[in-house]
Amino acid sequence: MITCALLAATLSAPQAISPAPVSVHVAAGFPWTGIAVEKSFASNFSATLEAETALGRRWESRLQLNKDWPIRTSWRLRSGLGTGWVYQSPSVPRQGVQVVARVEASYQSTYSPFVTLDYRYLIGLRELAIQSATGDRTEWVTNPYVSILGQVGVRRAISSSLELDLRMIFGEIDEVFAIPGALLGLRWSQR
Amino acid sequence: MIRITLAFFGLIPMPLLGCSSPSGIVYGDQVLAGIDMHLHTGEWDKIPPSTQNYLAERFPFPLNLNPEPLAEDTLSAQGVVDQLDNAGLEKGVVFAVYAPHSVGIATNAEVMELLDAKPDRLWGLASLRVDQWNTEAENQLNNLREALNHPRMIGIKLAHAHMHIRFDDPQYDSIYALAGELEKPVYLHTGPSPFNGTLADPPYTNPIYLEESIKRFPQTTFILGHMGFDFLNKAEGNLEECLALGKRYPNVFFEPSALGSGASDPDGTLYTKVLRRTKEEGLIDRMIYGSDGPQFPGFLADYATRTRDAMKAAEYTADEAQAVFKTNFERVFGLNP
Repeated sequence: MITCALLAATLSAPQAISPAPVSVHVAAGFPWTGIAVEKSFASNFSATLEAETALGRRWESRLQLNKDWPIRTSWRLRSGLGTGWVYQSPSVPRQGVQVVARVEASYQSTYSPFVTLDYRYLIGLRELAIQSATGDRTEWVTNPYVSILGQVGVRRAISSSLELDLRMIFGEIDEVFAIPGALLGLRWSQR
Repeated sequence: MIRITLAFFGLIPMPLLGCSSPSGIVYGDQVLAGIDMHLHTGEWDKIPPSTQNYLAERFPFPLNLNPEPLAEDTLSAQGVVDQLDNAGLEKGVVFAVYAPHSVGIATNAEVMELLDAKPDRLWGLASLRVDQWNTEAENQLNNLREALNHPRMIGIKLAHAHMHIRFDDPQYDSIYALAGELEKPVYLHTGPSPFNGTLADPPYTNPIYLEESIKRFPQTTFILGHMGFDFLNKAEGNLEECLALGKRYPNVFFEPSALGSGASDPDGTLYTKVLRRTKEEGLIDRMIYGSDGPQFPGFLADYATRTRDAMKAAEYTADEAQAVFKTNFERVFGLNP
């Protein structure tokens, strides 16, 4: 699929990068479903507010700042840094603050292939109930969890303001192997 | 979908690791037959939450978010047999467990259901409750005797650290006496356990405290599970005490389950040491293979591979490896074909 997209990309005329002032992206698949709202600013900066869930049992939300780095006409590199909250229940409980670093490379064309790499560092918070001779008390302890996720996919504009994307997700969540996932997404951009 | 997932993950280790085949375990230029004497079953709802959490953390994402269906499937008769097939093992032994303080309960009746569902592949070890021993001892012993009447119930499972009973408490001698009378070996968990709700003090974990009972019941076979491994500190624990008891008493045997897993011994160093020390003491004929599975899909195959690799590192001959993987079990349990 990616090879086909790359081939189509080489046969298509390059398109200029023109970020929309505001865009909304919704995606659904296995295991993730999510929504992201993006607001562009000057100098290739943008901010993204994201919320996603895996099977309704792990919830992640974050605010991310992005910087686009146009490379020649058609290539774009995007870097992002964000932070948010994770909540997961009930079988493997997790909650805490997560920091995310993201890098994405994409080729702008009729079929736009892209690759994204996420490094997510979760500072897990856990409440401990301690029974001792001096009485009962609770303590909060932290545990770090690292998630590394790679995404490969392709985007295709279907109108001046709508774009479809299909992506596969690989990697680890909280240092546990993640079964590869797939997502179908739709982006609406203000024009 | 669960079945597909199980097959997907269960089959991964085979071609990658090259250890097991549907008909055995590849050891050098030989293919060994294998029996796994330590398997578990049960119902997810009967496992305490902390242990559910411990188990779920071992499942891949996102199956760990909803582990119950996968766990129930893996712990079923077909699930256990699928895992045996995947590991290239002929047969397995499923344990009943009465450990309400820690890992929960898998009743004798539940185990017997599995044995009846797969009579050509599974045996069982029966167990009993000890938490109201002062008033319930006779009933519990009668129930145990009845469970052991099942033709495929071949022994007794005890876990002193989980059941909160001391190895040196003579009030439980009646269990060892029954085992000897019925010629059913007793499997005992030894060493500190990683599960919440278990007791880690030496009288509950160090098998040296069992010595007087071993002496008092020479007709009873004692199998020291996990060989005293310290799962809390990931260390050899009471290995030397186990070997010393084996040297002193002919009715003492060992089982090296779980201690060589990826979580307990990532590089295989400890497992190799355990096997090497057993060989140095001339006690290979006392060791019986077990994994402590199924835990998660693919665990049985992975553990068989790790065992094979540790045996090679400890310079076991193919005959010695075969003894551990199968023939010692058949001899001890009187199941010679």
